[in-house]
Amino acid sequence: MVPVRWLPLLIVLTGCPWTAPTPLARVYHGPAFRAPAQTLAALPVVCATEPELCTPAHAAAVANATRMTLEFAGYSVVDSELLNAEMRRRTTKAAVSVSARAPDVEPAVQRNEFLPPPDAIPVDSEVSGGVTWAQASPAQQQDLLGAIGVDAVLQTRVAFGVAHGLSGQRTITVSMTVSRLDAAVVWASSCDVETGDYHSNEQAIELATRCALESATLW
Amino acid sequence: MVNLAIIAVLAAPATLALGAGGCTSAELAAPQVHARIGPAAAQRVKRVVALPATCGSLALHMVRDATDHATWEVDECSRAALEGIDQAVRAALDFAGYEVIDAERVNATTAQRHEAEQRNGRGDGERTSQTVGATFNDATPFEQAEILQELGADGVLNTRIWIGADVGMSGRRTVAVQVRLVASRDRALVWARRCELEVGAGRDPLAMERAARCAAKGARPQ
Repeated sequence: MVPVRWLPLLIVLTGCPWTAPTPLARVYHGPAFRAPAQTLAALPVVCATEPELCTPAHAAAVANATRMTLEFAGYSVVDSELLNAEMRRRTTKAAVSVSARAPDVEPAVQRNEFLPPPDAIPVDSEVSGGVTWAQASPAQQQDLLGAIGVDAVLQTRVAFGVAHGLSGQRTITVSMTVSRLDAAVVWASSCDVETGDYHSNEQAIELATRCALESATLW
Repeated sequence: MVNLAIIAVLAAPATLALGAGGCTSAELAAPQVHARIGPAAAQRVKRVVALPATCGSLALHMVRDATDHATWEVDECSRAALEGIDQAVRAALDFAGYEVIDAERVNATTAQRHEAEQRNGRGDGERTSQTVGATFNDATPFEQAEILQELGADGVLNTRIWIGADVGMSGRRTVAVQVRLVASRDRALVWARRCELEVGAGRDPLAMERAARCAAKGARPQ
């Protein structure tokens, strides 16, 4: 038998939402939806919020999840970060100490527990010069994309809402838009997931990314 | 009454363990393999240029610097780990009958190499070498198309790795590796294979390797 003085507490607790709110997805088919877009240039993920909340690692994770899912769904995705408008120059430097006592030529097979391999030779590689796609002018960017057969651009954004409630929960929104090179929208998909009591920021980003992608690719 | 209280206190951890053990979340999901055949599947694609793997992870680890400032960083997508995955995938495809060319080893231009060795009076010193050039990855798409033609490569292979966020008290997470082959002529899909594993915390490198081997397994040239 529950004591009477606990009843108000029980009523309050029973009224609490113990399950996470269902992620909310919205999909929009734009005016260019009927024109098929096959090859996408994926722009870097924009995650404009406090740096502590959204790190470059978060953006890279969302970018990779988005691109691999769309590739598996049939799109051909070009990573804009890896696209060069002009050839880049790579300088590789390596330095190793030599000693009069040790032989100059290392034995070919070194994987031996009695003769462990020496520390790896530090190799420093640097890419410079040239022009990446991101550094090119908008006209050059457009020309390059058109010339390599890209017919649409994928823009992905991650947004963190303002903290609210006792647990400081936030609404995380992941949205992605595919638009043709003339800016006509093919489709857009967006999903909101709550953090705080229900999910960590990373879990919410993962759920929102999956939710937005599945809503866009499973029609 | 006292005895009952003692039994209740002793039994509490066991009850908790039983309760936690009964949670469905404690069981890891079975590995899932997804395969897709593309419109270029009928094309003869045998010699392929393999691009370096790309990686993204939501499994962040707190790192404190000298001033005790904490930042969240990803450990799993290190250069060494990605090179290991690349080699696992490429070795599997080599064995399956593809001729795999490492994109990092394809020069776009003839490189210039400068070597210098300095020794002191006792014969000890340092040997340095500097190479300046450009590889396949540093070239423009047009130059890459020319290189593919020169090499007689009819396919391009890319690998993507994804590590999800920690879930539950055990910190389990999803690790997915996707291997995708496209025809070099028109970038049409030949096949794509994806493997997803669920693992406990701290087992990512092993899971990445297992997922990569699982994704590359079964791929054969026409």
